[in-house]
Amino acid sequence: MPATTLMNSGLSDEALLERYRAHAGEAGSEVWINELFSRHQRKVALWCLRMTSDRETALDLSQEVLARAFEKLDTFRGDSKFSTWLYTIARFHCLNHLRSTASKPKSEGEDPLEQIEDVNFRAAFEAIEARIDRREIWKVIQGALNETELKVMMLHYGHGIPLGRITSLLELDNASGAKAFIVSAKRRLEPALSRWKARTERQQRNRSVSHGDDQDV
Amino acid sequence: MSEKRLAENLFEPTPECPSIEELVSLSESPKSGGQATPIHRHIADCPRCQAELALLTSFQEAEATPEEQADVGWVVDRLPKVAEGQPARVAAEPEPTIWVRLRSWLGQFNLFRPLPVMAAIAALVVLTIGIRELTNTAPELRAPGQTGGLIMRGGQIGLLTPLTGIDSLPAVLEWEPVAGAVRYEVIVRYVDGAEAARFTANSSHTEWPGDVRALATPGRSLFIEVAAIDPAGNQLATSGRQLLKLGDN
Repeated sequence: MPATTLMNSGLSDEALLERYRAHAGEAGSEVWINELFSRHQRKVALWCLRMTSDRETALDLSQEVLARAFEKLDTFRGDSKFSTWLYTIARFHCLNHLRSTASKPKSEGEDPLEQIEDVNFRAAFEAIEARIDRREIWKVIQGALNETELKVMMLHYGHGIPLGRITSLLELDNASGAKAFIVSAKRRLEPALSRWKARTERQQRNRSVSHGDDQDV
Repeated sequence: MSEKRLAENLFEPTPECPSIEELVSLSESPKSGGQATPIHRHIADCPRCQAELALLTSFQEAEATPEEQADVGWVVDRLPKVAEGQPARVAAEPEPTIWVRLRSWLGQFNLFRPLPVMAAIAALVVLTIGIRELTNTAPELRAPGQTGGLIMRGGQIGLLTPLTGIDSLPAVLEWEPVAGAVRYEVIVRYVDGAEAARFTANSSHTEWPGDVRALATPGRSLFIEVAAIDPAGNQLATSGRQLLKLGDN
């Protein structure tokens, strides 16, 4: 039989796991599980590398992720693909790592919101802070930004992922990577949020005038 | 509060955002009956959930760029196996016990079995198992790669060439000769048991064919089985499935 055909005849991830569980404790049963994990270790290594930009740290993180996944194997119920389940573990460990290193001094250019002084972003955010309905603000943001700008904003501010890492993760191939999208997002957001702020204030004024009229009557 | 902190507050998950586990699971499940459920609608509209899904995609679909290849290889080369164990042949399906066979045999007779008869059968089974345990010892398994004198217990062929803990495929595969054998069949299998290659040797050693060499890449698990065949084409003995894995030190 030709090797190329046979090479594709392997078991699915789920079937490997099933066999490992069926033969758990028997000599040789580790073959199934090692085969399963070896299929995904490259994916984990690459992701950890992109999250850390340092191969030594990526190795430590990859080991942690795979060991933790092996430890928690009993909790995998097959509701999702094995690789998806593995992702949740990788995500947890990598984001934790980023949070733990976030207090360390940032490299130059990692926090563009603090550096871009030509846009008065703070005023917009303070307006938001005063009477916040996040879902309403998110609609304004979604209307103002393109898909990539939105993802970069969310991953950077919502998940705490440094911009350099986002550039790698989203495979952004423009010259400045994620930083360029944050800059353009800020420039688009500022007028959109200012307009929203003005509209909201106008509506409030109208309501209070109307309320005052009612009281007069 | 700093502008950054304000932004972080703004982009925190909403109460409607599903947990990560739910989100990734939902991303794989089709909408029930083709209708978008409230949670599916939320995910479609929520920039936070969309960013989460982008992160999942960045994991699932990532391919190393040429610049990343070396570093990824460096990491992968240093990752240990998750499960350690003595490489050994994968255990075959256990043979049915005497009790199972007896129960199966009795099952064909739809007879009323009074209690004394059942007790007598149970006693007989206990006695039989006891005798079996006293007289029977487990067949000796041979670790792959173990060398030494001829071991011919229960029709087993010992492989003399190490197949694990090696970085490259040895030039020759060698095994213990079997009296009466005129040829040997060497079968290479994938871990799922599917046959990958089969070739014949006229003596107790052979070179690896080129297609088997191509299959035996570092980190990949294969099984090797050698069977001794007599002039009538009957199988005299077999090595059982032996694990072959390169670069597994």
